[in-house]
This record gives sequence, C-alpha cells and structure tokens, in this order.
Amino acid sequence: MLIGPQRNVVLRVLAHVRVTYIIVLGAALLAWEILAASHVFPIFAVPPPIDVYHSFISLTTTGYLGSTLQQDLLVSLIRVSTAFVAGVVLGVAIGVAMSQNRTIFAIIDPFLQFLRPIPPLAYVPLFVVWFGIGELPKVLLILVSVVPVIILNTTGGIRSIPNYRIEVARNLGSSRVQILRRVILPSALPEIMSGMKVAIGVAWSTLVAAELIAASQGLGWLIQQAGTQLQTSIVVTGIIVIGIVGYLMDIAIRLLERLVIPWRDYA
Amino acid sequence: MILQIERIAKSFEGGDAQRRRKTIFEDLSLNLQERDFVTILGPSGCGKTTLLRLIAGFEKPDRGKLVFNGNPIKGPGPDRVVVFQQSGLYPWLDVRHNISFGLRNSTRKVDWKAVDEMVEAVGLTGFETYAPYELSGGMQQRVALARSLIMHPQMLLMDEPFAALDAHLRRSMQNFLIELCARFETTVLFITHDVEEAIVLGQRVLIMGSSPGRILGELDSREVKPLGDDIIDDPTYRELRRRAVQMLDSQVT
Repeated sequence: MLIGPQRNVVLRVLAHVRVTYIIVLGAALLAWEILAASHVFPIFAVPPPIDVYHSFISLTTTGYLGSTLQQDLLVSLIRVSTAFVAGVVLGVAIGVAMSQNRTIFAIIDPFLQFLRPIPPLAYVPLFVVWFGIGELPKVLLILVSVVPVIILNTTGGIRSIPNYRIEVARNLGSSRVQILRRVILPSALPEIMSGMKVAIGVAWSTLVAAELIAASQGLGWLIQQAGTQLQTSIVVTGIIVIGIVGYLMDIAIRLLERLVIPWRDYA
Repeated sequence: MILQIERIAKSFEGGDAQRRRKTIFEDLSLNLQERDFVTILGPSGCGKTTLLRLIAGFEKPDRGKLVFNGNPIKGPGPDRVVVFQQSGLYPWLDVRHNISFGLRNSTRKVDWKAVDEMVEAVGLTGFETYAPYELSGGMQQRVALARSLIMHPQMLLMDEPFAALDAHLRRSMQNFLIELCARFETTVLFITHDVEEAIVLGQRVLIMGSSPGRILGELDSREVKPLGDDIIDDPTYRELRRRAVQMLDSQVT
C-alpha cells in the first residue's frame, strides 16, 4: 500500500513519462516510417512500422515456431529475473566480504579485474560444455554478467562511507556485525541500487547471448531464429519488447529507490 | 580522578614523499576531575583532535598510558562518547531512531519514554519523526548530543561541535550545552580553536601549543558565565582572554 508522499512519487514518475517521452517516441516513429517509405533500403532491412505491428499481432496470437510472444517473454523474464536477483544477492555478499576482509579482497579482486572486460558471449561454448543446454547455463551466463557490476558498486559504496559515520557507531557500542547491518549496508544502499540499474541493462543484453545456447523459447531466441530467416519485422518486434521490458524494469528500480532511499541525495 | 593521561607519545606516518613520521605528542600528561568542564584551546594542527581520539579509544598511544575510571583505555565505548563536528546522524533514521541508535545495540526493547524525554531535553519535541536532513544544523547537533547523552556517558568528548554553526546559533548552543551537562552531571572535554568559546564554556581552559603538542598553560574561568553579546564588556572575561591570546601568541614566534 502506498501512502502520502510515496503515492506522489508514483504520480510524478508517471507524469514525467507521459510528457516528454511520448513526443520523442512519436518523432522516432515518424522518422522510421519516412525512412521505410522512401525505399532507400530494401524492405527486409528496414520493415515499415505497420509490418512490425502486424508481426506483433501474429506473434501474440498464433506465435512463431511453436511459441507465442507472451510465452517467449515469460521464459526470458524468468531467466533474467532469476539471474538478476541471484546476482544482486551474490554480488552484495561478495562485495561486503571483500570490503571487510583484506585477504578475501586480495583473493577475489584479481579475478574480478581479469574477468570484467570479457564479454559474456565468450563464455557460451564453455558453459555448454560445463553445464549442458538446459536452463542452468543460460541463467549462469546472465548471473556472471550481473555479479561484477554489483560487486564493484557495493565495494565502491562501502569505500565512500565517511569514517566518522562508522566511528559514531563504534563509539555508541555497536559490534562489528551491528555496524555492518546498521551502518555499512544502509550507507552503501544508494550505490548498490545504482549498480542494480546498470546490471538490469547488462542482464537483458546478456540474455540474447544466453539464448544462443540451444534455446527453443525466449526473446533472444526469437530474434535469432527470425534473423536467420530474414524475418526482420519479427526481429524488430523482439527488440522493441526487450527495450520496453528493460525500460520498465529500470523504472521499477527507480521507484524502489525513491521509496527505499528517499535520503540518497543527503547521504 | 576520572581521567589520567600519563606521559603519552604519539606520532603518525607522514603523508609526504619521505614518509617522515609526524610527531604529535612527545610527553603529555593531563588529569581530569569528575564533573569538570574542560575546554582545550589551541591552533589547528596542535594535536587537540588526536588527544580527543586517544581518550575516545580510536587511537592508541605509542608510549605512556591513558586511564579512565581506573581502567586503561582499550577502545571506544559508550562511557566516553564523542560529538563530532559533523553531526554524523544516519539519514535513513528519523530523530527518535537516531537518538536511540546506541540503546539498540544492547537491547531489542528500547525505552521509548526515555527517548522522548531526551527529545524534550534537547528541545526537539514535535520533530521526533523528522529525517536529519529536514533539520537545521543546530538541530542536527542537538540530536547528536541527545544520542550521546542517552547513553549516560561519564564523559562527553566534543570536537568543535559548533564550528559549522553561525555566531548567533553557536551562542545559544553553548548556553544550552552548559545547562544540559549540569543536568546530566557529565564530565566534558571540549575542543575548540575559538578563544571566546573556550573561556565561556570551560571551567578550566587548557591552552595547547604545537610541535610537539603540549599544554602551555591553564586558566580558571569558573567566574565567567555566558551572558550573551555583552560578554566582551566583562572585565574577568577580558583578562582571561588577554592571557589566553598571550599564551597562544608565544607559540607563533
């Protein structure tokens, strides 16, 4: 239940979305239509908006290669959310451990720095060999892309806590565990949530790579299958759906941010 | 004797290229009596904050010893609470929960009546559910003070807590602090670089010099009561001020 100022936050975000974004969206749609109608590019390269709309309708009703858009969306959503939630929990735990213990930091940090620049796509063959072609390798691949982002934001957030804030707690008799739970975690929360915003984007981009692994459903799979058959209007539909869902998740995290950490600008 | 500091030495690794050690204290001794209100007046860099951090238990001396209430100081504890220059309030907690922060380290059942009494004692009734950032700087420091006093510390260590406040607010906070500490019977060690603040607040004023940090002299300022803006006309105050400035100036050469 949302009350008082919290409800206002929701309204403010919605109002913000309505005004500017619809204008931008309309302009983009118009430019797209003009580009498609000009026939500068062949129709399979730039399908007109109306074709994409028709694909969308047929995808949601009859489906494509045995599954509807809703089913693909659901499968992908489950993969992304499972990996995202697990990745956040794991990333925060590792980040906290690293910042509390020098040895743990010294052990994990080299791996982190080494693995960070490698695109998740590069792991696909390995993951197939290691974990087969079920749900596990797909979820793990997304997880692997999420965890470093969360770790870095967690350690960064903890590092930037002003010293006196921890000294106050020590002074008032807080134990190490109490300091962690009552001071360090809430202090690092704004940066952890920033990390979550970045990570949700990373998770969706990794999804397509994850669904390269012998998938038979999912938005990434849909895009690839349609791509090999030059069904570009389906590809574009899939891209738009991923974009919208990713964007909605970003808004959800932002809302969560304002509800959970209204003090972030004063921290 | 509540606090005995015996011949302590303290140095830090320097931040310069040669990593020269910076000596803060070579041989410092100091005693504090119960219910003393002692101010330490000194220029910045003389080591007064280090002294306070040693007493608080955040730092350990290289040599010498610090004895509080008969026991050597081993680390920070709620019997010696520091009020920092920054209020250090937790922005995710409202006024009541900031004040009860220390209590909740040792108990699940907070005595909210005691918390509300403390809220009243620092004059913040009506602001219980406010977030720290909704309060003025002076109010924030009062919350920090309440959070410290509710632990019933035997000693309150204050590190220029009013330095960030404007002159008027500062004066009212000083009066407020004197009242409050008398009421809670707390021993206070108050650090400042402001001559007037040191004399007005303290019963004893210790004047500190630097390199190495040492006590240059002591003034008895029990006679001076905080009066307001006409304090400058008080002859006792003027005499103490002259002596304090003289001692501080002897350092500059």
